[in-house]
Amino acid sequence: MVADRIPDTKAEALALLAAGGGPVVSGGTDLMVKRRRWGGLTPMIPDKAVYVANIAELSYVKKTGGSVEIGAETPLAVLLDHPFTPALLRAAIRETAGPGIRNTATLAGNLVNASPAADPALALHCLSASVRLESARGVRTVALSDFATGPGRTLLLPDELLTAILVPADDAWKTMFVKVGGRKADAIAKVSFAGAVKLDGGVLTAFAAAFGAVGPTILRSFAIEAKVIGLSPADVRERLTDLSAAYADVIRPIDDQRSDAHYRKTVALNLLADFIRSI
Amino acid sequence: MTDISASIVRRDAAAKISGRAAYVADLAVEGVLHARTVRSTIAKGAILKVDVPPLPEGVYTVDHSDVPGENGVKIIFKDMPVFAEREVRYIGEPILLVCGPDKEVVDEIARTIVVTYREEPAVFAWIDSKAHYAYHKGDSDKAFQNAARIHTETFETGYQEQAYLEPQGMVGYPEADGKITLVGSMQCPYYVKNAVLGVLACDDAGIRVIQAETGGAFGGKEEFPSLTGAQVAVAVRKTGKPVSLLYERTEDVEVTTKRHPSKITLSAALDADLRVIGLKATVGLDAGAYLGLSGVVLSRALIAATGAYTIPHLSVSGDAYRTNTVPTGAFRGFGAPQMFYAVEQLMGHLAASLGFDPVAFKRRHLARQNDETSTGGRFRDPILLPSMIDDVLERSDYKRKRRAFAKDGAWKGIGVSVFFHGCGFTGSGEATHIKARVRLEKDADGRVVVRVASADMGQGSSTALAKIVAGVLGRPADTVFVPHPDTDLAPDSGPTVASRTTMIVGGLLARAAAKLKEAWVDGVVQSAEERYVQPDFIRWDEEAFHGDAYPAYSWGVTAVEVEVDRRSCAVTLKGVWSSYDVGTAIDELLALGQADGGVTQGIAYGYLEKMEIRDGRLRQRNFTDYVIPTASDVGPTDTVFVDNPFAYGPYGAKGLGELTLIGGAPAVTAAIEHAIGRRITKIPATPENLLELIEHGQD
Ligand SMILES: Cc1cc2nc3c(=O)[nH]c(=O)nc-3n(C[C@H](O)[C@H](O)[C@H](O)COP(=O)(O)OP(=O)(O)OC[C@H]3O[C@@H](n4cnc5c(N)ncnc54)[C@H](O)[C@@H]3O)c2cc1C
Repeated sequence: MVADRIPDTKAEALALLAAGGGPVVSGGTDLMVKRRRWGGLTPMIPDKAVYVANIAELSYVKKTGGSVEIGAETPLAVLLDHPFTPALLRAAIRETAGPGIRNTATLAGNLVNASPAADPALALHCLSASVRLESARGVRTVALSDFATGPGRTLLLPDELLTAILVPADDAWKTMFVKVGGRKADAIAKVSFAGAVKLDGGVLTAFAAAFGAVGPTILRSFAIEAKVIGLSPADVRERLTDLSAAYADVIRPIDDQRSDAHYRKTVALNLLADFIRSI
Repeated sequence: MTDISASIVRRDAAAKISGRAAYVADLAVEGVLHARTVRSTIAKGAILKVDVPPLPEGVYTVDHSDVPGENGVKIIFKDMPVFAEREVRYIGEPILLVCGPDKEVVDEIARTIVVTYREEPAVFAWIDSKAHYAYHKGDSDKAFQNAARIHTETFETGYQEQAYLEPQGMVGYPEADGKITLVGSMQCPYYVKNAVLGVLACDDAGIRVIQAETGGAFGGKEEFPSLTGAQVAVAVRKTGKPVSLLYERTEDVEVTTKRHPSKITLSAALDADLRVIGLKATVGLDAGAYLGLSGVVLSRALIAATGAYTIPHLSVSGDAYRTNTVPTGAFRGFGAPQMFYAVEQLMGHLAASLGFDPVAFKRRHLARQNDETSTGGRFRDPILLPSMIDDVLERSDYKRKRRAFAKDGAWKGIGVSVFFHGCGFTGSGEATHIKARVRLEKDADGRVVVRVASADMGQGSSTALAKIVAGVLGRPADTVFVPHPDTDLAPDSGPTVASRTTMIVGGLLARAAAKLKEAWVDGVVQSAEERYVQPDFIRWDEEAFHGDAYPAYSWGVTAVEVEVDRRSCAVTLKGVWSSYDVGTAIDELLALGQADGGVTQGIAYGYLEKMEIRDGRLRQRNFTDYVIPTASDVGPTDTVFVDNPFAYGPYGAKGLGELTLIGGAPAVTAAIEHAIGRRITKIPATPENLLELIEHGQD
């Protein structure tokens, strides 16, 4: 079940979407699994699907100004080795799936799939990345913190294509990424944490803490983060108990077949504490 | 190392590596109908009505009304129907097959069939015992009355999924003469044949069963293929066409047999010298909706009640309970892993509470040659455990680590398990039930074909059996062929289970080969047969559970070192050291494959593989959620085989396949206990459980 035409250019893809085409298929590593059928039958992907993995102009990594721009169709395996890939994102990709999946999976798919347990998405959230959404009607940029609205749900409109990911410069950041999965490879996070901090003149000028698999979407609290800006690392460490308590109020995980709420919350706070102690 | 142990290239290596090996899903059968199973969606209830939409030409449904013979799958009893008739007893129970040439159509029809039920309250509690056994030795009441100290604990173990790489699959087709041939992924061709004979009500010539290349089994393809074989045979009989029934991973995980969850309460009575002299054991197993092999699994568990130790006074009893859940069944170890886990933990906890090092405490109780077994039989052969323990402690640097890790905040631990496995069928099963026969066929060119029912499912038995026969004949191994079993060509040498293939079937083949060698005439077609004769020293009273439960015992010692992440309680394996006495290893590399695979599966049973049922429904249904180890999870292994030839085994070989799994769970849990300073009584010891123990557990 392959579409009549696989677009070679972004313009072509946008035209297909404008004409009612969809869904968009990038690496297909989420979509094929979600839509799989009985063995021997092809996945339920309609003829009007728009396959975008081949669009060369959407596969690149470049530095513009201080920030890094990543073409939405760049395979994760390419990002793993690319010199411009932000360190935190690289750390997350290293723990994403296995080599086979990484060869075809993309950041676009990871972000639009909007799983609260996704690894690259967690790193990008922590780095305050945003996404570029394009359609025949125009272009808009949306902050990742606003993009996902629930598991599998985003602000993306049916005729829009996610074309690029924009990551602010992270040169001076100190970061930590921890994925707690059921096993050491090829696991889905039971709970995960990404932290980033920037120090200038002995005080924190930026602080970000993102939690995975502890709620319907990846969790970041700008209100709590704001409280530590301007403090010295020693001050922050001193306030660890208060900070933990503040996060404990907003982290509301669930019990499911992979783990339980108590474990997820406890470990999330342990990882936060670890990060804060390391600042 | 003896000559026979020197490794040769596996028989199946080239075909598997090149992709030529034909698994059942690779068989292209012309005109085949694809079958899809419609299953119960409730745990218990009556079937009121089944609404099938109008079927297009060439599409069939096959259900209980199509069964020509008895609607019961012979395992030990026939308590499991081929297709549910009036009632369903677990979620996933098969009700009918939809068969047709076009998968798309079959899938669509299977989805639109509506089954109406009258739901009844399902039973998940362990109250409905369907098998009960008990035995006694010495005078346990007196031992407990006079005890200086009594220690009681209850242990729980969970499900384990075999997780063979290739899911279940069976293909059947009609032959010109009316015979039905089944080709499938299986361990026991004659189990399938015998089950189908009753279901089709046909005579011996009416059914032929051939093992296809089989991608792993671990017990999961012992009795289950009897069900799918029966269903496919009925479908072929009804449609007159070839029928293929292939499971996918999720379906396979949901509806096939798994390891029995257990609850085991042990009470130990100690004398004034702090020696365990009495033991009371109460064992419960969850059999699921049908008893199947559960009674035999239970008896193996009960016989292992003392672990690798000699305890003079015993009182042991157990039950297998029926519940409205997926049936449990055969799985590498067959009841022993549950029991050894419990006993090893008990010994470790006793040692800790008495101030002994756990290994030192275990050493005080080791079974020795000529000791009485738990059931009043005798350990006739030398037991090398003391030197095996010395060796494992030295290689693992146990003593130093045990002290160093005990320091607060190390979050590292090391643990040791000591265990055995009774080789072959329990009791006089070989003589009374199996009565194995083997045949060697030699052609005019001197090529010898081994005719046995033993299935190579990846464990390497075809290589091992070829080596034994070639070795005895004194001819090159590549002149001996071991084809996949075919019931029209091979005699019934019994099922490929119970660590019996090398020891029992290989033993018979060695004798047949000796006969053939003696009679050997170049250029002439010849053959030789052998049948099992029980050595007279084996006496077993099935009713009383008394006597020699096994003809031989294999022994093992495993040490595991772990590190626990203090933030997430995630466990990392730092090393695994083992020593095994399997008599003689027939091919060192094959044996190593079995050993390292087995210990990995056993360790994962202890800390990783979690499967739960809630309201009759499995919560972990695929390999995303049911976590088996990857190569990155397995720590470095260091494995040694000691030579201790068994007089009745070919080249001295005893059982190997199951032994290596048994010590994994107790060793890894002992190591984790050492790392976190808490007592574990339930496996798998997942990070979630460890967190709970750290917060609320007992030292
Ligand atoms: C075995 C396995 C292991 C995995 N392990 C991990 C893991 O460890 N961590 C992890 O985070 N994920 C994991 N995943 C999930 C998956 O691989 C990732 O989420 C991956 O990044 C998805 O990218 P894709 O290109 O394959 O997405 P696709 O499957 O192509 O698409 C996913 C979704 O995004 C939409 N979409 C894709 N591209 C665009 C676009 N350009 N514009 C608009 N919409 C678009 C699709 O319509 C679809 O809804 C795993 C998957 C598998 C099968």
